[in-house]
Amino acid sequence: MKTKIFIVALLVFLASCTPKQELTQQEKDQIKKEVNSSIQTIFSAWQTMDINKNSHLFLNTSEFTGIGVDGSILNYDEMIKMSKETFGLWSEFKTSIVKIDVKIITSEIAIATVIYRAEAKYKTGQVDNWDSIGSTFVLKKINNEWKVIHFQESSMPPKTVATKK
Amino acid sequence: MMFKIFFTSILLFIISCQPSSKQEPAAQSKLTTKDSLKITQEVLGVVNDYTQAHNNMDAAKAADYFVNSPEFVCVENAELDPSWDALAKMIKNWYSNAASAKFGWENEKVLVLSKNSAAMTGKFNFEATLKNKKKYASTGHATIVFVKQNDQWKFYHYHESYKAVNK
Repeated sequence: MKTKIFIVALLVFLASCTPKQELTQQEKDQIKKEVNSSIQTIFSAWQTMDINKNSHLFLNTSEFTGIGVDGSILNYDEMIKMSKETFGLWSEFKTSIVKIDVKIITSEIAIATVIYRAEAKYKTGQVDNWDSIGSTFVLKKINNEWKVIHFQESSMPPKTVATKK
Repeated sequence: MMFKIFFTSILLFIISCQPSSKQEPAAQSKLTTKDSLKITQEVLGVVNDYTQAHNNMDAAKAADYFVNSPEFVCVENAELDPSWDALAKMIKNWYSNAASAKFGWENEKVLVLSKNSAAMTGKFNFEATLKNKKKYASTGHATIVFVKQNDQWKFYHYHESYKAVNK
């Protein structure tokens, strides 16, 4: 009987502790897929200058911090306001993603690093080109959705390639 | 006897389900205010030590705060640094040409992400006098994502945007 107790206990021990501590490769792949999809959705919202969609992808919390390309430190409301003002100046915004790198911190926290090129056409006719913009997105999974909880962008100043309509 | 089997199994189940100190549980464990304050103090302490390493121009020590792993990502003004080795070499080369350095932070803000991860943002100022007497200064903002590994907080992801001014 003691042997039976030992075997049952050992089986329970093995079954209970093995898979919970570390993400499986399948889980990691799934997280990367989800985060990649969220990043693509953000860029799609930027390109269509869809402020409502863009706002939904960032976490509306007092903990949110965004650092813009100009070095401005923004809370959620300030970032949405700045996005609205910027999109209001543009007639077209194109981006081309060069690289996306996703790192998983936990099953609910991930970092996406995105390097991309961008071109903004102003309503005045001015066209600005950024050869490279680097973005860090810290994302958190809340209610089964990945939301950006922290954001930083950096770039060199854009080149103005056209000034007339 | 069945009771004994059941009791032993439950006991072992409880013991075995305790989170390991080495690996963060897949599901986010609950963070208390006390946890968040402790983590905030710890990462700010690490940033302070990192800052001192720069002020002492101790390149090896400064580089050691970054996680030496293929997982490490560093972005500087939209450029990706290729590796930890490249970053360490750059810091070493920089200080081999410097006579003095002054590095500091302001408006630091820590966002605790989990029991083993946190992000810090802040504005930094850096001034140095080179061995050829030239002055260099830069100011900018950085995001540091920390991950605790083997009981040490390491810079797992680093992003800085800055403007350099050659005086």
